[in-house]
Amino acid sequence: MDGASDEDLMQRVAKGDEAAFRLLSGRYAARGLLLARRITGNRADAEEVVQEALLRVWINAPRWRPLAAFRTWFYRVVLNLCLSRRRRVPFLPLAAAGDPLDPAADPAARMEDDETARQIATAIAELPDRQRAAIVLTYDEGLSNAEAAAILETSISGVEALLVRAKRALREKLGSRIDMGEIG
Amino acid sequence: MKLAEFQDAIDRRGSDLSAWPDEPRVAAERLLAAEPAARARLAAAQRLDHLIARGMTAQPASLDAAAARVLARLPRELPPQRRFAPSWPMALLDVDLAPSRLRIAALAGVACLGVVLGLFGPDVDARDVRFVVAASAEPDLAAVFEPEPLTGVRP
Repeated sequence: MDGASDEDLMQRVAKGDEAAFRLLSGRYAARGLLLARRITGNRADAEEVVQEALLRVWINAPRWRPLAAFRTWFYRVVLNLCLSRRRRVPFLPLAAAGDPLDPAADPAARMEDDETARQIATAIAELPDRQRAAIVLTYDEGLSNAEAAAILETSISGVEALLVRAKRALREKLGSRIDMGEIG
Repeated sequence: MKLAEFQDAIDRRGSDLSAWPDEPRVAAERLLAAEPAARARLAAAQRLDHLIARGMTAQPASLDAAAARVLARLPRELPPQRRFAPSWPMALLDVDLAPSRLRIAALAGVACLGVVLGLFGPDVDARDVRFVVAASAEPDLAAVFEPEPLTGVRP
């Protein structure tokens, strides 16, 4: 069963196969967590979101139809839970999630890297929800605009419009680091 | 392609021109060859893409541990699944009708035509006296109901 596709596993989950569900959960827990952390900026929230998303997969599996990839459906569930949670809970910047530093790196280079990463992370975290989601899905998950559109439940041109606005905002915030030259 | 359109296209499709569709890519390459400002914008877009990607590559080290925690917290006894009540409309929805769409449309069209003709078409009652008289007065029609001259068989 380890080599089964996500969709095959979902067919089994739909029939109540718990082993298939736990295998599928193992495949997607970390990926869901990464997406949820990027969107919520909060570790505890991300864990709760992914746990809830996995349970929704189990509960709603009989209703699932293989019209789109399982990954698309799962990310959509995670994203919607993240966005609804962010409406209820005050925002905590992503930088506050504080990933451990690499102890092997040169201290000066590490400080500069850390500062750059912090500025970028803050700039991305300050984007409006859907713009940030579009950036995370296309850059972090490496999804095409079409896949991101399916997850965000919008059209491809809708995703492109979100990306245009997000990058415009990031250019303004990171202007000096991008060395914009003549671009305003 | 103008400079503003080029900037918009970079933001929409990314700074890797090789991933663009042919038509805008050719127009963009023409602009890049002619306009130093376009080259500067492409370079800036590539730096922005690099910065975003750099911000994203900071993978949380504790991700695996967190994933293990999430999996461990899943209930040992899972809640009941939501299933559709079995009913004939749902059974119909499971049938793939795509290959027969044309025939279904033709059938529906004929059915509609039948309904329209039934509602608005000529209303003839075979028991109508006028019809009977007209039919019997018509020599050709009367001949139809005459017995066969040779065999005597009635139609």
